[in-house]
Amino acid sequence: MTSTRPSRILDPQAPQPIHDDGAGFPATVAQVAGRMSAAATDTAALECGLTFAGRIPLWIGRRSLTSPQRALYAALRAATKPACTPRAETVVGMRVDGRILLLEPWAFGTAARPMPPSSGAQRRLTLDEAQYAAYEAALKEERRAADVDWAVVARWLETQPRSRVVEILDALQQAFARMPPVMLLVEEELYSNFRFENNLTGKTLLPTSEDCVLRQLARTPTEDWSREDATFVYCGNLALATGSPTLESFNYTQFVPRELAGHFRERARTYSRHGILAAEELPTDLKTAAGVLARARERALASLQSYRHIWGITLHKREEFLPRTRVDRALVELARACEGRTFAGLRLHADLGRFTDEVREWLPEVLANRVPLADGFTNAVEQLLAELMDMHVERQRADVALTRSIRSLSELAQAVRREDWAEIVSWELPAFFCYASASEQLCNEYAHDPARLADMRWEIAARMEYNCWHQLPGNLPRAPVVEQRDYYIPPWQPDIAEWSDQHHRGHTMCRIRFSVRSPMAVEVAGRQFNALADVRLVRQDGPSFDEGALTASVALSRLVARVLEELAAEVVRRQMDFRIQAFTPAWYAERAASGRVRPEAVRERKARPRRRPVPVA
Amino acid sequence: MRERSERIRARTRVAPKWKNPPVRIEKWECIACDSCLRECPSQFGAIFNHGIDVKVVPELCSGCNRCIAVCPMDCIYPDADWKPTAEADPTLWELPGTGADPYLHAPRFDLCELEDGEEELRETS
Repeated sequence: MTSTRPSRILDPQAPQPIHDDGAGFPATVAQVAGRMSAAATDTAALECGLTFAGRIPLWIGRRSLTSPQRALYAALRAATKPACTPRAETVVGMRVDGRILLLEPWAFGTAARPMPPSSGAQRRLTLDEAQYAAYEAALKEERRAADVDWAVVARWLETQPRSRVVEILDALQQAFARMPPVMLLVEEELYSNFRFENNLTGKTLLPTSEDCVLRQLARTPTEDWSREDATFVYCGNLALATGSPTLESFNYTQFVPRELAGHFRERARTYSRHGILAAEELPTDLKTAAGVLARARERALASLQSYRHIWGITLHKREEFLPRTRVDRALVELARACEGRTFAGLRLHADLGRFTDEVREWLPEVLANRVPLADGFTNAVEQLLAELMDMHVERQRADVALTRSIRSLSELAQAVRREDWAEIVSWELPAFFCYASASEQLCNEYAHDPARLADMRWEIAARMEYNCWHQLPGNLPRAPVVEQRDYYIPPWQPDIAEWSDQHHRGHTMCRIRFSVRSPMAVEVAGRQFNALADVRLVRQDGPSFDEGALTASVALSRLVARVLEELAAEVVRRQMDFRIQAFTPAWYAERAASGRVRPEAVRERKARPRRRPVPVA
Repeated sequence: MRERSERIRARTRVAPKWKNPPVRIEKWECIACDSCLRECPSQFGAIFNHGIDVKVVPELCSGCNRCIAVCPMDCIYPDADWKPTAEADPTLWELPGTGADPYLHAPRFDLCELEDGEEELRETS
């Protein structure tokens, strides 16, 4: 049996890669705990933990604190001098799940309390009489605020008929099952479908599992719900009502009414900055506010380019907006930079109408095999995509640029016309492709081990094939055969992500630390397929990508989507089969063997300072 | 052949026909695409999502190696030195046979003997 790994295609005895156990989330958490114990002050230690040593903004970390932790944090920040006579003590550190370990203080010198599993070192904190008094006052205030929250939740729950409660639980279960991981906190309680204590439907916990908290709640009278469960459902219902990806905006933070209110105000300010909504228009009643924000978001999406900022270490996400002209300008810059150059015989234009005309003239040549091809390509579409990514990776000073889609648009079009959803959801990973372009700098780094580079490119490509596979059914009608398949709702918003190399082992191994994604819809046989086109950038080391890289990727993704859409239309019109055949493991292996990673020589590039040694051999 | 549910209850792999060792998935090479999980015949039902990893319960794995053939990363290895799940990863036993078991509602496959004496897995329902 031939291996699917490029290095083993080249040499069946190729060794397994050396794994770096000093990478990824557990190692980061332990490292942060070490830095906390060495921090100059207690507040600095706490803030080091809350920001994962500068990897996320402090405002996210602060929102993760429970009521007693907030009180303690406030007391420590207010302290102007080190504690003198100790009155109470506690410890600060990191829990293995990445939450801060900060217990309620106990009387100094008495036995410590049992602690949740922690990672790495812990730091002992002492509070003197004044600090402890400040803590108690702050705690009283926090508890009062929590009681106000609870009163709101309890009142709401009392007025919900059973049928409505079941409807809300079902909507939440559906939402969690089809979305990327969530980690929501209600005080100490964690609601998550990811990694640790899974109690929500998701990849690991099937909707049929008894361990799904929503399933359990559906069978429990509301009067028997815990305060945390009721709060979670109340906030979840309101979050869904805003129409935005609010659930993921609460990852790793408290999902309670006062935080929800704060989030709503922040959203209103964002819409206000773009002239969509006057911030003062936001009602204080959360249900009404959710409706106002949902309508404001609709207006924003109609007139602005949206994207999401993702802090990968906590999976916290925030929706942002840009003027659409920024993407138009990026397209103009791209066309200008490529003036006088063709990509597999195709010229780029900033004007999408002109570009479409150009594609329509080019495709007959492609389908008649009249476009001269470089080595390794069976058709000009493959070469076009490769050349575009090779150009993009250098222009954006990235390590990897990639694009992905389905190998046979003709088969997809035929299945759509037959409404054969069972056929579409039966396709496996090899039905999809991804071209992952390595920058010249990355190629140079791996010059001593091109097989490892080929493996890395294939690992990235294979994971992208999986993403295509995973998302495609989300574009189909909700037929039973579709709903039985594991799938995510396909993304339609671009995003900028940082520290993405923490949770996903593939990301850790390939050091997918900073990235830009720009999924784009492609219409095939009259049906819109979100994320059937995608252009991505990856940096294995800093700096993070900015909005310039994002808009450039969105601009290029528009062009790629247009090519795929026109190709789909043309193969349907001609009733011909057309398939992307390149970008298999063997294809990546051949590039490594020949040393010709790219179809043509790389053009100008400014060197980016780097970086630590490569951790895998 | 012992039924899967019986193997889950007994937590043992004892089966005279299972001459091949079970497989293991190398977590640092796996991209969590679940191709192996989908390919694992439901009467064995040995592969599970577990946290961020995809894992094999060796007691349920017949060593049919269908998963090896479909793995895009070639990261599944026969594991002659396998350790019992109760020892290696006890929480993994919380999945088979429960509501979190993806094989409970999957199509069934059975080993069918061919004319030449070889065996082949065929979908039976």
